[in-house]
Amino acid sequence: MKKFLVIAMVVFCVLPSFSQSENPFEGTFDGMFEVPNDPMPVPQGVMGPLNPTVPLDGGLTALLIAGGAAGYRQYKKKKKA
Amino acid sequence: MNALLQWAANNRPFLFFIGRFLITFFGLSILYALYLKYVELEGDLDLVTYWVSRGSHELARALGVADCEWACFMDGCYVGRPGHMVNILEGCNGLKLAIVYAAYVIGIGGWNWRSFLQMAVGLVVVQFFNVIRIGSLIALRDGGGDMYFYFLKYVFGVWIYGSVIVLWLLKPRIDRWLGQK
Repeated sequence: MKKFLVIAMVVFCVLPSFSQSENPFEGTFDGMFEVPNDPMPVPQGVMGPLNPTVPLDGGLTALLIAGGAAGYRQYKKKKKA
Repeated sequence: MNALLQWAANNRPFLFFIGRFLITFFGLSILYALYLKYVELEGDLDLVTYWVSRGSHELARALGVADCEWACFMDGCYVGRPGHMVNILEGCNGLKLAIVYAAYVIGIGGWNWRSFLQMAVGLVVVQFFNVIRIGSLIALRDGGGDMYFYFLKYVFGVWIYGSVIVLWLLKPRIDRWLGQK
């Protein structure tokens, strides 16, 4: 009985694979040597940009406000004099 | 409301300053934006970025960057030794800072020849400081290490914005030197 059960299990496991017409490993290697269209991902923080820019960012608004403040100071001085 | 009107009446010269300051800033910014649009349509690079990158290239060479190369394209210039180049874009050329400086000069002094002269000289001086900044950054990048990022983020930020503020502080002296009472 045990032998019969083991043989039956093996047959039930193997039968579906015979029913497939194509090789199950065929899709695994599809496009393996093709070059992807998308740019390769670069880990952030590991590699910086190749040619970094030298920006002057962030300070323009502060400079405008400083200009207004400096102008106010000038007029206060003139008013006192 | 009355208090605000009272304050405006007492500080009329300051309000005129703010008006001239903002009109000059936005006027020159719009003119520059139109110029950038024009050169973009022509498929060319703007002249300010061109001359700043050229000056930076010469300075980097003078600072001892061997085989310093310089190549300009439509979107900006690349300066430095291959593999250690710096990309100089329109936003790096410092003209916006010169515009803020000019707006202040016009705001304080009004529309007269002294202000226009100071505006022109200020433009050159701010660009001179910017060329020193970028030329030194190219030399630092060529040397390698983290000093480049430290100087870019902190030291030269203070350097270039400080140049504008120092020019503002020197303005009364320059006015006196130009004969203004």
